[in-house]
Amino acid sequence: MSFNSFSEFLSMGGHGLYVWLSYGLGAAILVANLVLPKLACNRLWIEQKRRLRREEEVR
Amino acid sequence: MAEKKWMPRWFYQLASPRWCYQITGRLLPWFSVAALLLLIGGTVWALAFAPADYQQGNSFRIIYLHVPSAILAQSAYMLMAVAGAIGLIWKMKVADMVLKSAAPIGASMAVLALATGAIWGKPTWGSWWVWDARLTSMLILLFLYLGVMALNSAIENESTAAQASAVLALVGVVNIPIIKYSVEWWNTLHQPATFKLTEKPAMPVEMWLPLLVMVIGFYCFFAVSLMQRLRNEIIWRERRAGWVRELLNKQ
Amino acid sequence: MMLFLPAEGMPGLMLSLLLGTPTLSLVGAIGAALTVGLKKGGVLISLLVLPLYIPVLIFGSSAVQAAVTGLPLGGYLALLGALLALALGLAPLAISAALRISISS
Repeated sequence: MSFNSFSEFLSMGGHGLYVWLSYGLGAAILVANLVLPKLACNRLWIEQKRRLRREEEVR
Repeated sequence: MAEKKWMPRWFYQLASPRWCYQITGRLLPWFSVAALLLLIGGTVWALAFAPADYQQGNSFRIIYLHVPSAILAQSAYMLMAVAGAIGLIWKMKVADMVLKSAAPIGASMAVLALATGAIWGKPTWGSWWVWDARLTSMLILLFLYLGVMALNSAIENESTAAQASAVLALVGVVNIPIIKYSVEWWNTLHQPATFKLTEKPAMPVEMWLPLLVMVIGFYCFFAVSLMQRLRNEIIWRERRAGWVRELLNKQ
Repeated sequence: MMLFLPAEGMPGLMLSLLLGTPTLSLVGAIGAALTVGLKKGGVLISLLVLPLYIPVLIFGSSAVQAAVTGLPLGGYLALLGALLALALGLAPLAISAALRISISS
């Protein structure tokens, strides 16, 4: 472990703001890129299934 | 008369959206697990176990986000450009779809690289931004990504949009060597590369090993995100096809 | 006396403009060819062309700065020349491809 206590870990030797800001941003961007396509997929499937059902009814 | 095939069989197989959909479906779980393990493990290692830098202290830990995202931003652009070229030359729909899928991910990697670079620069160099060669060319890369995304959505016809974006992506490829070699050609503030193909890294193993883990983790993450977007794109573009109808009805 | 540029800077400025302007025109033509079919293509052109202009601007302004301070600007002019050569060779290909794409829709 590079740190002796949790509060030391949080403060990062005074650079805490920079480190946690960066990692927070990194986490946000990575999560967004994984979650948004999944949401789009769900929306797409629901839409397309609805369209299929409509086309079946017309026939 | 048999058509002469210039490329191996798997290349033409790749052209089938249906085949791509199936194979990405099989690869996705593996890459997801790999990405999760590497990124979470790498982050914990980077934040808690890797040593701090002698001069920069703990702000050095930002490297574990900054370098992987910068590498990915450039690699994604190369992938996008190659996909664009393949789409233009062989008129492959899947290549067009890969280009369209890669662009937003690459753009967000460029944003992350620039942002983490700026945040790291403040305690290290004293300012958020300098107009040095590598930073400027990375900013250019971001604009190129945004341009490709904007052009792709501005044109209604999907194949025309893909062709136009491919031309733009290829024109912008000239920027990649500028980024890569900028720290060698100019005396810049930004430090030279850590990982070189032929030499041992300049930093100690306790520092570059977690970095390597994060780089591979980021590549796996990119693969996962790309495959997800690609699958969405395939379903959308092939929505009228029989196999898609079967797939939708099955669920 | 333009914008307080000292006289020593003038030849450097002229040369860099001579080398840089055709490159900018060629690259701008690529952007125009890509967006000619679009209704609101104007703003899009700026976005497309801006990243491609920046290297030329950087070298051009570095050349002028070097000229003003008396440093050798041969390197910057050579780079501008190289970019021009690249543009002269490849831009027509890109432009014709882009025009073909724009007309086809």
